[in-house]
Amino acid sequence: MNTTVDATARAAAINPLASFCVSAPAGSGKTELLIQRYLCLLSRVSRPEQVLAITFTRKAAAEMRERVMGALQSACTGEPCVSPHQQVTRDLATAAIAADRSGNWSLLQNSSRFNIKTIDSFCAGLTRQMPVLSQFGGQAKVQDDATLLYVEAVLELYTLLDEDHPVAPDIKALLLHFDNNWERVQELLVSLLARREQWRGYVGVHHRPGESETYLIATVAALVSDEVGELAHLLSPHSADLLALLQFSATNLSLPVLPHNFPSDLRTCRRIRQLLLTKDGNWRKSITKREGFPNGRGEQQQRKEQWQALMTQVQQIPGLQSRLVAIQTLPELETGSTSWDLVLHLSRLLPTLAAQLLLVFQKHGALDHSQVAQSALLALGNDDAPTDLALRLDYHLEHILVDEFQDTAITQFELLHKLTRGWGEYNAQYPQAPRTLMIVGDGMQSIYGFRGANVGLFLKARREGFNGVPLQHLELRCNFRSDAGVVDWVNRTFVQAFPPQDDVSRSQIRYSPATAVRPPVHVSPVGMHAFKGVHARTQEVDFICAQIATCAAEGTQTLAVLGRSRSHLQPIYHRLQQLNIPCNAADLHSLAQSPVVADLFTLCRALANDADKLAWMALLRAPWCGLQLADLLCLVQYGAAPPDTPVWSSLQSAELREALSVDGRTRLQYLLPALRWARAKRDRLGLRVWVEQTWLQLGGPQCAPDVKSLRDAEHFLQLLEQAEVEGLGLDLEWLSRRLQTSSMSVDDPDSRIHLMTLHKAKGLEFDRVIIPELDRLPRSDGRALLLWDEHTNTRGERLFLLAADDHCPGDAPTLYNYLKAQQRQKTLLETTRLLYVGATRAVSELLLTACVWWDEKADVPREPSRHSLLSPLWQEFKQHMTLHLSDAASEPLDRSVSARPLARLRRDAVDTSADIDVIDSPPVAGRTVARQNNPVERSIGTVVHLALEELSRRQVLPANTGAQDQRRWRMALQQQGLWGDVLETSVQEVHHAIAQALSANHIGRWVLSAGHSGAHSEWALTTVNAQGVIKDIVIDRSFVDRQTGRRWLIDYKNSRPTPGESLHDFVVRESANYMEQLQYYRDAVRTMGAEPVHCALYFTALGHLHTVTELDLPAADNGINPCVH
Amino acid sequence: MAQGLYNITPLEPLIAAGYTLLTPNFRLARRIKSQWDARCVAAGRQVWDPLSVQPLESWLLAQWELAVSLDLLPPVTPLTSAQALELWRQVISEHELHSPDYHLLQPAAAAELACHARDILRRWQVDMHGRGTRQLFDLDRDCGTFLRWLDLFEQRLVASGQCTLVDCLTQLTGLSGQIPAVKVALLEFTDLAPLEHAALHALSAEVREIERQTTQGECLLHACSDKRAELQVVAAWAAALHRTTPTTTIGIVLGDMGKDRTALEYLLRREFDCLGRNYRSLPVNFSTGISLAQAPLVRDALAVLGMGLQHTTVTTVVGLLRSRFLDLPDAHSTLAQRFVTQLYTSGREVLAVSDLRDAAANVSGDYAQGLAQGPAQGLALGRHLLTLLRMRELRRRARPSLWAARISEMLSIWGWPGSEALDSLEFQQLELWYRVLDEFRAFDAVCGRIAFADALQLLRECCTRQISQPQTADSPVQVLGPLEAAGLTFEHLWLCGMQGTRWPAAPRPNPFIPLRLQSQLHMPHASPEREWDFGAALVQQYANSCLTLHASYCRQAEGVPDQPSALLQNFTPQALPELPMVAIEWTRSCLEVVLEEVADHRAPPLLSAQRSTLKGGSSVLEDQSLCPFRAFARHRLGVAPLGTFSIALSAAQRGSLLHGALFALWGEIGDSATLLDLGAIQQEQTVERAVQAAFAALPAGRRRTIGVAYRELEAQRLAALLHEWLAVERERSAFSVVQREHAITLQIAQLPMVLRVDRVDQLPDGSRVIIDYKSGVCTVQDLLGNRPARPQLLLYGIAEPDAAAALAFAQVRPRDCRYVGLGRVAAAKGISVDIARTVQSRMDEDDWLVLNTRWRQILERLADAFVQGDALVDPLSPATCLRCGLQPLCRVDKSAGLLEDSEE
Ligand code: SF4
Repeated sequence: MNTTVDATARAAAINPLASFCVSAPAGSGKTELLIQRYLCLLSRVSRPEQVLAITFTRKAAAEMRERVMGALQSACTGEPCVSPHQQVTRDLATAAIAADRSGNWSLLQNSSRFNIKTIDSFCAGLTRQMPVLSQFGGQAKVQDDATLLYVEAVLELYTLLDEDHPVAPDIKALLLHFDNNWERVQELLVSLLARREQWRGYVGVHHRPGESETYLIATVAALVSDEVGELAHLLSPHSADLLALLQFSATNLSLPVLPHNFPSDLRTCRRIRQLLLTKDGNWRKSITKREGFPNGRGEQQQRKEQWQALMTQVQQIPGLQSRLVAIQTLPELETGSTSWDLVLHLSRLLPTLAAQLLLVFQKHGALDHSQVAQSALLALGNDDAPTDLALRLDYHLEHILVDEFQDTAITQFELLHKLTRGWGEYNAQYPQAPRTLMIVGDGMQSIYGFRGANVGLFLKARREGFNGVPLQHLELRCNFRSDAGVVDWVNRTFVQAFPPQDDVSRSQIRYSPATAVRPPVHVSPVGMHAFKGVHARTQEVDFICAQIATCAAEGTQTLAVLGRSRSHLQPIYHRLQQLNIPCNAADLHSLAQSPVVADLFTLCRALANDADKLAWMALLRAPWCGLQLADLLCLVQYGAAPPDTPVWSSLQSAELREALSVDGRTRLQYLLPALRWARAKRDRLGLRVWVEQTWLQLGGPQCAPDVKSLRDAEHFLQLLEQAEVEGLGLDLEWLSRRLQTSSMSVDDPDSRIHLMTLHKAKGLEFDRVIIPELDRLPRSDGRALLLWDEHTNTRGERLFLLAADDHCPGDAPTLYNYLKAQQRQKTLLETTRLLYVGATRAVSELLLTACVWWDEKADVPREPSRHSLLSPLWQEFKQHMTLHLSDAASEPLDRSVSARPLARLRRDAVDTSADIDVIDSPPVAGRTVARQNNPVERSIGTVVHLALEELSRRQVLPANTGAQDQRRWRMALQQQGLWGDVLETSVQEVHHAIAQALSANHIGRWVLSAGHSGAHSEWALTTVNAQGVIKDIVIDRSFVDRQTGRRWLIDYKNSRPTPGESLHDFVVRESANYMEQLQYYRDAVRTMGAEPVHCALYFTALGHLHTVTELDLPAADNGINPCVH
Repeated sequence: MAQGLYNITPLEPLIAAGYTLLTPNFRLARRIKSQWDARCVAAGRQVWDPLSVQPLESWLLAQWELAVSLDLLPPVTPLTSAQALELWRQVISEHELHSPDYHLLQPAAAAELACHARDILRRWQVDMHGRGTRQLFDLDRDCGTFLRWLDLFEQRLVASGQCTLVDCLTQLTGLSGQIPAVKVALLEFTDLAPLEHAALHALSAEVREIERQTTQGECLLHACSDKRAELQVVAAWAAALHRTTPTTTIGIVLGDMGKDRTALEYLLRREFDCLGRNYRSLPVNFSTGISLAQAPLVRDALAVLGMGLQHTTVTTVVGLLRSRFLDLPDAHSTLAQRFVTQLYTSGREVLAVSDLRDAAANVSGDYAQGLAQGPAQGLALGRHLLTLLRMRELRRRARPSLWAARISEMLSIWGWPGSEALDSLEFQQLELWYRVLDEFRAFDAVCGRIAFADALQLLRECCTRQISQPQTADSPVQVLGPLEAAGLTFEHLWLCGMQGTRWPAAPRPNPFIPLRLQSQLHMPHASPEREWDFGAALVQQYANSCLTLHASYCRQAEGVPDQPSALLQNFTPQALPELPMVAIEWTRSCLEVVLEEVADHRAPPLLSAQRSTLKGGSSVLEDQSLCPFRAFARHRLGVAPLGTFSIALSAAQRGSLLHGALFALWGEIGDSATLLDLGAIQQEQTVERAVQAAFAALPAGRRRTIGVAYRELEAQRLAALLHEWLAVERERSAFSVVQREHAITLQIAQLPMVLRVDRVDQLPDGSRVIIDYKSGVCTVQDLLGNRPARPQLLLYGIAEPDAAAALAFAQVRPRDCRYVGLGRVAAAKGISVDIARTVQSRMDEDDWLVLNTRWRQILERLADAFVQGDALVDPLSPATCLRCGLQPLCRVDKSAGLLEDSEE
């Protein structure tokens, strides 16, 4: 209980004048520290955006924002502080508030001004702000899972094969090497694309193949010479002895003599290894003729003794053994070898592949996070021509904080490098107001290597800083989370399990012990239980479940079972289900595994595709119908129908239905109406409603095994909603992918009992933690076709290597085998760290369980596999474990896939007189499609209308139209969408119509004349009809003829007689067409004046006015008052 | 506030005084007009002058048109915004072509930004010719590039006598006093751009801004656990209010209309009980609809047009077959089913349309008795595609207007929009489609002659932009976007999604305008301060326009915690109960019902008449052994999963290629002596011929679709594999191949069977070795136990008159070629003669002949079980199910097998 061990470090961390790298182990309260520094920096900048905080997840960003806001708010309200620690935060917040006020930031109102972001959203912001520099163009859809885009890029690459593209030979060679298995090679290339930030720097789009080749050769050479040099350094005190011994053995084995500048090459190193180590990497105990040391006297005897003496000495050299082992796998690249050729093919092919991906991105307007980051880097410019970010953002970034730095991948690292360009010089100039950087992380919790995180970058940053800004290393030691008992155990165990030294090049992190702040509570806070015997696993599961049951029954403590993978948690989950203990096991099962969802999916498949016989048969077998085998058989074999008659057609046959059993007939009577309804409603309802209603009619909810599974059904139907939103419709591919990636509902989201993977548990804490099945191994991925590795060497340079499976035996010194060994080593280290993450989740109790194999002869447990979680803590576990023997009588877990009866809804026979063929028919609009087909005619009509209207407004009607008029018509016609030749002829037609109307003595002049009274053109009126429907109408032309005192209502039409039609017939036809409309106009106008009314059609193209005499209306009696306009 | 959605009483004096009312949007204008109309009706009038109320923008444009018609302004053609956007795209891609240093990933997005930037610059009256301004733009690369684009854009406009809408407004500002001035009143404007101001003042005798009388109602804040819960609460609230007072006006503002509309609509339907029967009577108006491209009618039209391109997908074809809008009378026929099944079996998801055409035209019934029409009828689909093929003009470039005509022609080939009557919504969509075609035609303004693919793409974009929404009468419940709701009045208004992270929004300055300029001129979205003011004004406007204002937010979105918007500081928190996610009726009916269970593991026995027609040979027994249900389903029900797509040949197809090659190979070589005599070159040639023979046997269609490169590579691989295999054969002592793919008939437990044995070798002593080629990994274990995993070899064995001397799998796999088997003679390395040891784990027999007798019994039992109708769901191992595909039908518990999956 010691809060002072790291008090200085904590105090230093808020010093705004310096930059830091903070190592913050589990439970050390780093978030608070980050917040304190953030607040502190806020009070020193002129805009809050100048302090950038980068978190690992969106959730972390939201939490940090919330806590900063909370601190500021309590500083405003002046809530009392309860601890000195809080007081620190308070003081900093008070200062920040002062800055807020003086700068008018309104932070309390506008939390979006906090520049707290994930790296992804920060990059997205940069690209948004710099569309050209980032070559992004603008906002695009960023997909979390872009696999489909990668797949498409690979398929595009394949199409180059048939096109004689320069890389075709490379693709061919690669394919052929992998048995022409296009699908596997596709997977391989897809996985490469998903991780392209690692290789694009070397073999990306802009690289010429030759460059990549040179680079790879140089890298391997550097790698070898590094290792050789390292070894030489370790062995230098003994070089004389070694040389002598090697010369001696060489002579005996008649091998070539060694060079004197020793050991300079790989071959010599290998011989040294042979001299000192056995084949499997252990120190040699003896040496024989085989190694060139024959038995004998004299020199032979003497050399053997010399060897013995040397062995005793070299065994003391720390790290020598592993170096020697590594020598074995160091690659020897021989040009012309398969292995090297493959690398070359890849290095030539990858730039093209990356280019294809860009095209795919472009085509779909969608891309992945990696591309966003890449574009952001691009936008920031290179070191020779850096982008002036301040200009683009309108402010200078002054301070940067980065959390979870151990999980940093190279892109983030490069981004930081670019963001801090010039900071060193700036700080030298302004030592009183320097720009600062703080990175926080915990190498011990680096568990995302498989996603491309590189813990070596953390070490590199710590050592070198960025752009001349050195980072002071601060180590937090206090653990605020776990009881002292747990902390002590973790210290004791993991100091052994972790490697003794940090090592950048191997991503190796040593352990730094923590100091507990909380007192010890339990006597034995950490329990270790081993199970042995035939039913060991069952017993282990039962034991764990008993623990859970107790915890669930009593108290309020939280408990988590943390498994290495989802499948490791399955047995426990199933047992809990049997015991009826609800738990929160999110993400354990995919939605596709829910039976209710499976049936819904079957329904969708059947609805989507008549030809999907399997789905249709399954539909008949599902609980809502439950047709028996005999009836299914009858259905497919009935009569002479060919075997691939669609099931739906068969079901239509009443005769066939008669042939079924009574049970079958009854069941179809329920099924068929629902399906008929569904077919009738296809594409007429929302997708979700359509499927859901069909499902309800089938009796879907009744078929659900339990209420919880209805939540799965709801979830499924919500996916359909989403498909609708995305405009996909019933897309089965998409749906099935989503079913795989969505999770089944949990029993009880509020349960105190959690089941989750270790990776998911990162950042969480529970009172009690159980890590089960420590002996189990992760599922092996098989032999990777391709391996690549990116690491940082001892000089801090980043190296990238890549190799394809060359089918060579495992001990051949090929690049592939080398990378494989490297990867295995990294995975082992990460396994230990994963266990550390799990163990440090526990507040007060930690329970570790495993099955052990017994060496019956020696009566000791056998050493567990190196790849198991048990391996790193084996020494501790072995000593303290409680051993449980499974007695032979204990029941094994029920694993049989026994024949289950067919479960189905009960169905009573329905009254057969009820006609099952009745469906409610869709609402049908009796209308047919009426449309003036010729769009050009329509446009001309519109423009003629406009022109006539405009002319009618003139005081004096011109005798002719001018060039200006024609220009206007042209423009109007263009606005109607007419261009090119059509435009010219249309202008002519308009001209013709207007010229005709204006010609001397033409009736058109009378229509357009300004001399009428009560004249209107395009006369808009609002009317209400007898049914109370309000309607807006526009009457083309209306006036009261002064001479006759009649009101004319004229509608313009630009139609013409059809070929062969007489004018008379035409006019009669058109009047009939427009009779109703004109009558409506007439009746409307009637209410506004008492004059007699004439209705007419004016055919603009013909220049013909036709009075529709049928509609003539005499003057009204005085019942109607003329309306005043 | 019983007046409904907008209180026009205060406007009456203005109306009387002849003011033109201007609104920020159409919605409000329509609303005011309908309010006015209602008054007129109430006053007993039958006809009246339409109220002069318009959105500002359209009023200004009308003034511009007027000015042009009065010859006050030169006639230039204003481009629609879609046309302008297209022009921007062209300008950008042209510029990009000549600038090697950048290559945009999203040129279309850049066009939108640029279009917007120009619009803003115009509206804020920035003089883009000013030296200072241009220098400011040139300070950075993005704005500088924009400046180049802008210059090109202006040049294009001038050259073609066109302008954009905002240019029209600009021209208006110079018109002061030239057209008859009117009095205007501005309603509900929160901000006006300087250009709009200038234009208004140039045109109007008087501009009055109408202050809304504030009726500060009650403001409540609700916290919900997540988005779904929030929408659910809103839907329930609206329904409850509506039930109590059906005339009450309710507004719901959705922050993210695009994302949440569908979910809210569903939930409203659920609450208003408008899911099934009352689907069309939901008393809710949505301000947006779906994109026309998604409307089934248009979706299918676009799909059909897609048939004019080179490629299509199987999924598209299946979609066409179920369309209601096409003339495909045989879409549900047996022929169609066969056709679709073939498409899936062929294994390629992407098809050349030409292949599709051939396939659809030539699909035929080889089951003559089932098809009244006789053979090789072909599907209507095929006929339509043929007609399409004859439209040669599809291959020529043309202007959009010409394409529009051709497109209609293409659609008529397919009988679109079908012979069925359309419902009213579909009818509206059809009208919209024609409108879109008009719009498409008008792209002549900016497009030259384009290829069909580009034309279709353009049309598709037009359809996507066009929103289709049911035309309904005004409903008491309105769902609107944040801006659309501003200015409208409701009794109850609910703001959804008032998340702290979204309200106020983070600033989104246009990246093509220098930031300094944007903040100096207070351009929209330029700074946090401006966003705050904007949001605050909006919320104030909402609060003023209703009696009760509700706002809600969710405490977390996608797992990320969030806060309520700071704009809601004065709102009173109120807790509404959250509703269960699952509809209560579902839960009730689930709990009410207990399913019945019937044991149904046995089908009726196979009638003797059916036995002789049974297809499948040895696979019947293999399936029976692996899982009885599988044998029943596959061989009696005739059910098989539809084929899965692959980009190359499937494993099965490669398997038969290998079989074919080996068949040919041994036909030529014949025996070990010949093999050993074969020189390297001869072997090379023999293998080459065998490979050619195998490829020749591949179905022609498939051979074409896999492409030349694949075929070459596969031939190379196959040849290499055959050489590898011959190396194994060379190790053997003398043998001769006496039978290849030899058919034998066999009756086993009443089940007649035709088998095809891959190969039989004879050894010098006359004994015969039965060989089965496998390209997968084999073990002897596959032959053992009561349920052998691969019983066909055993079948071949017992078909021999005297027991065969040995049974062997020839495992022909790259880098892993070998024989695996057992027998009484060690005919090859890998064939074990130590019977007892080999079988001990699974069987007790230690003598070859005894073992053979036992095998016969085992096979008979399997055959008998099949004949008797045994259909138990009983897979041999969980792995069996992984490759089966019948799970939906057999209903095996999927999770049961999982326990095993990673046990090492
Ligand atoms: S999925 Fe499994 S249980 Fe079902 S039929 Fe196939 S093998 Fe049998």
